[in-house]
Amino acid sequence: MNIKKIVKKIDNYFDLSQKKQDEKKQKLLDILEKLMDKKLSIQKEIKKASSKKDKDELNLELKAIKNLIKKASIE
Amino acid sequence: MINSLKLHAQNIDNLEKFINENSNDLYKLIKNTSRIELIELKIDFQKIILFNKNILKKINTNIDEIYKETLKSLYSEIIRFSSLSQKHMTHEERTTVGSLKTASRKIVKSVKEIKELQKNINHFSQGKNSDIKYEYNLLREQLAYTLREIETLRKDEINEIDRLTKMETIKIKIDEFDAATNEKIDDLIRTNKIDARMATSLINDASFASHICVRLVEIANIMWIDDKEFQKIGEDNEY
Repeated sequence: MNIKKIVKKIDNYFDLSQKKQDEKKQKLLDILEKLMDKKLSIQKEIKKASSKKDKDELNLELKAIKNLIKKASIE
Repeated sequence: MINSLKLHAQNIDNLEKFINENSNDLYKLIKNTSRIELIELKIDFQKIILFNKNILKKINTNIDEIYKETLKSLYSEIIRFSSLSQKHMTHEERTTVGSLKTASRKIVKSVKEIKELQKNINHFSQGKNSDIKYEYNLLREQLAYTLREIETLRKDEINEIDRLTKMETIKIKIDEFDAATNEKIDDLIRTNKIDARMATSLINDASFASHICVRLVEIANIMWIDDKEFQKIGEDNEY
């Protein structure tokens, strides 16, 4: 994500009322928590997975979750 | 025009319905271009795409006709309706309409690129160079893969986190596919298997194919992720 977009996001956030800012913050924290839970469960599944195909699929999913956590943190 | 707007797009739900119909048209076009039956894909993706007899037949879908007769008029009405009605909307409604407009724009852009892609797929699939034919079949494979995954996503009853993860997974796959294609093109040029004209077409079309695929995921993100915060996390806005 480029700097311009990040600045726009910050601007938009501070344009919100205090109540809306708190709601947004809480919502994002909830989403991040859910994503972290999913990340942990995938990591456990990877340890259990026996076939290479399953491991590859789970690793791809883990990569996706990590990307989403990064994006959610920027939000 | 205003009367027809009132008739066709009285509220945001209708607008959403229109865009869904438009995206269905886009899916049909991509399915036609990739010439893959989604059910067959489940058996052996690679084999089917390379050995399907239909793959070598010329694609006769008239994209210009579809664009002019259906998409263009609908797209114009969507833009007009949303521009006229936005001043009476709340901030949330304006955000929703803004996203729906983005989805329509992405659909129209993809249809235009599908037209370019179809032209070259037809041209090179009939040619004698098996290397370029193979590469164009791989582009079809990329389109078919994305389409299949999105179809599954649309049908499956899954929660927003899982849906978002699946979309991100598709995007990673598209990136990997794109990187592999670029590497392959370099190799084909170095070994003189394709000439400069073929290489330029393939480079452009590979980028069209991956842009269309990413846009499909982004349209799905707008249409099927209800929660605005989830939607924002899933969007990229690159294309």
